[in-house]
Amino acid sequence: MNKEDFLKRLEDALTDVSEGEKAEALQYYRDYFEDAGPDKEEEVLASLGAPEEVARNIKEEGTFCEYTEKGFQDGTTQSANAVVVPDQMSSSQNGDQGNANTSSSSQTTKSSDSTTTAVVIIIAILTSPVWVPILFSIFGAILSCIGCFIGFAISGVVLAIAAIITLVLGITCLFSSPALGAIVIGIALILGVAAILFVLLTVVICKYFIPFLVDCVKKFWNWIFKKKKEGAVA
Amino acid sequence: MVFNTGAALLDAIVLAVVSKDMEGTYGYKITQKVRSVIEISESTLYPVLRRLQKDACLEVYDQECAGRNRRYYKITEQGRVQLNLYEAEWRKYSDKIMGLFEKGVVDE
Repeated sequence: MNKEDFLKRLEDALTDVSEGEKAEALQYYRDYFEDAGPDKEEEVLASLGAPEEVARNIKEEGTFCEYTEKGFQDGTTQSANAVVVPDQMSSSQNGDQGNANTSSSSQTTKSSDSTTTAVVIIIAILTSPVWVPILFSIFGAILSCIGCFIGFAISGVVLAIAAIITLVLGITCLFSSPALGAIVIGIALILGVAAILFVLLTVVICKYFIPFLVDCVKKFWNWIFKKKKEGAVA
Repeated sequence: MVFNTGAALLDAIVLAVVSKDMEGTYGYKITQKVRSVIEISESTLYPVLRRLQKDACLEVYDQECAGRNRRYYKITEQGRVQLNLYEAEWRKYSDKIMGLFEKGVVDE
């Protein structure tokens, strides 16, 4: 038997193996002979043994099952957790292994995450007749608050303008009829005070109430988000 | 050899051999190096290399050599992590056994 005979018999023996797998194995053993060199061909052939034996080795260990400390394991389940990290190893590990461990554990939580996320989405859709109107009313309330603030601000500005106009009018009236002028100036001052009040109110709203509202919304959002997260973990 | 080489130890030895060549190394060379350390048949290594490749501990590439393509094996980052783990575990294991042999110490 020479190299070519060996490869031919190996090919024939690799029956229930995928084409890709077969090509890989044949390539490997062809390489192997080439790298050993022609003068070592006899030696390699003797050491490799029967091609059928080599094929059985490939089929059993490579694709279907393999021998481990826990006995024979199915190749398909083995590949699911590519890198085997026995539990007792996790107690004493250096940084690199810690990484390996966390990456494998995060993978498992990720897969359970996706299922719980699906459940959360389904529940969210089913309960939508309840929370959609609530959400809309909250949104509406916020919007009306904002409308009120804008109203206050505009009132302040308009009152201020009115106060200035009235003041100018009052001063001009003061020359023709001092009494009427005094009244008009008095009205202007009242308008001015009202304008200042509205402006102050707007400032207070902008400074304190809006951040408070934003904070509330944030807290509410975080609360919902946290609940979702907790649900996902559980 | 008197002692059996389990799948994990064989993986560790192969990863260690491959990791020593930064540019990667090929099947025949790996086999010779592994065989200089432990007694295994020449056909044992291909399934191990294939499995390590599937587990993403090794990556392969083909490079032209003397008018043909030779397949090279190179350790991946994941392979290095796995090798570190094997080394640490082996150290623990062999220390315990050596402790027992030399001093009769048994950790409890």
